Amino acid sequence: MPYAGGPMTEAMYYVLVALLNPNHGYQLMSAVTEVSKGRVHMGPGTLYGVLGRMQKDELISLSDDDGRRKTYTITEAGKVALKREYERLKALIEDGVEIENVQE
Amino acid sequence: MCKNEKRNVVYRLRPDEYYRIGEHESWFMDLAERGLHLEKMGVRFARFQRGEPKKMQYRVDLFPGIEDPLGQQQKDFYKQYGWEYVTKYGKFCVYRSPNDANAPELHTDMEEQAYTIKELEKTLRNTTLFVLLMVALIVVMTFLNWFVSKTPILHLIEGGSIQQAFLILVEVYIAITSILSWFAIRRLRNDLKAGYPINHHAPWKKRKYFTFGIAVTFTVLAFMTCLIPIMQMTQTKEATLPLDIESKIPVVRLAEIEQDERLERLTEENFVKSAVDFNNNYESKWMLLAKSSFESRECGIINTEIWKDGSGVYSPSITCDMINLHFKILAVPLAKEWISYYGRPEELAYEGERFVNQEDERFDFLSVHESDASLQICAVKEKKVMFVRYYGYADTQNVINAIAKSFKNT
Repeated sequence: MPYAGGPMTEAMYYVLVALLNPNHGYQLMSAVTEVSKGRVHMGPGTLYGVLGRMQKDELISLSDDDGRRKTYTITEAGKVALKREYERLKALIEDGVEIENVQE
Repeated sequence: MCKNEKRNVVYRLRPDEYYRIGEHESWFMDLAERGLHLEKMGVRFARFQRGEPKKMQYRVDLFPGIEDPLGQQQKDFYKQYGWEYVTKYGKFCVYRSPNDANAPELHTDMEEQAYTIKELEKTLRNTTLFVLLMVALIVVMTFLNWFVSKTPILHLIEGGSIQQAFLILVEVYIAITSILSWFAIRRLRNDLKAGYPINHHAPWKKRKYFTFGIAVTFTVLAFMTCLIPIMQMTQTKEATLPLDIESKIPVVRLAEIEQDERLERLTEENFVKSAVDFNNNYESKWMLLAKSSFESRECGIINTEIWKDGSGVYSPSITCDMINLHFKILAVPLAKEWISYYGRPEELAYEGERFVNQEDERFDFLSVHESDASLQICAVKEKKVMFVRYYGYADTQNVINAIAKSFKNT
């Protein structure tokens, strides 16, 4: 089923964020680690799967393919979806701000 | 492949349940530690290359879909991160990496991994539904066949019912394995969606041998279902009855009961095919639950005599069915089935005529139906059952004596 809005997986979100700057598959893994400030270390299986799925859903596209190296870029639909997800996550944080005052 | 390499090839029985990813991975890793490195997965066996024992990581991944039909992109992609492609089986492919290479774990996001098996689950669901529909159709048809059959006991003795029962068992096994594989993949997907990773060290030993035992049992059953019709086809013999009535064919012979020297064999050209006179022939059939079985038909003529109703030259005939069973328990039920089959009311010459049971110490069961020139006798002695249909004027006692003699000589 193609992406129809709604919550994204963490992998989708970070790959879209990382692809705001076109990047090729191999470098994407370190790009994801970088944008997540070292929190997310994405496995090659996860990355391969999410790239294929998002390409099918037209959230990303291949901007360059020389056979060995594929460069991916986010599409307009991908940007819209990412923005929506960002707003949603932001709203989640705002709605849960009280948690800051909860003593563990 | 050079001789040395050939010697280092080792085959091992593979786990039967292809969809248990964690168990496969754990099995490959355990064998690698013993120096057996996976090369190829077959239907029942996996091929390994014997080498240095090594701690390896093995991962089973879904083979990519139509966007990467040869899986080459996946292979290249994983290779960059230290994962070597090993082999493919069904919808899965196997990758490995030495422990000391510290390759990054393939799947780090369980929810994303759940997406990779979504298509497989859909395929398995559709296959299972199709298999269930087919099995249900076959089972219904088989049961209908049993109900419609007018001779179910004979069908059982011939082996047909047992073959069908085996076939149903095999089909039910296929249906169950199909359902199990679908449910297992569905459960795996749900577990992944809920964030539970695949256990790469799942225990494999017990289940592997258990499922292998079951698979072998059903393979043998499937083989046996084929064996029954093969035996029926190859072990059936059809020939012209010898003129010598003392031949070893255990059926009642016309000359034996007519006891008239003028009796000649009636052979009609139209009934002679492939050197067999189908007016005077016998067939010896292989039956699963019988030691031997014979069906004979004989026609004679006495040119100097005519039928009492003046309808032509007197030409008596006899047909005889004889089965020597493996189990006595089936003898009387078979006799009664023959009586109700051959002696159906519409087949009897006159209304009110029925088979009458007679006491005779030479038989365990004896039932006779007599009318004008027609005689039907069904007799049982221990495991032997005979049904005789005779048209002619010979004395009933002659026929009964001939049956007793035939039983004694069998």
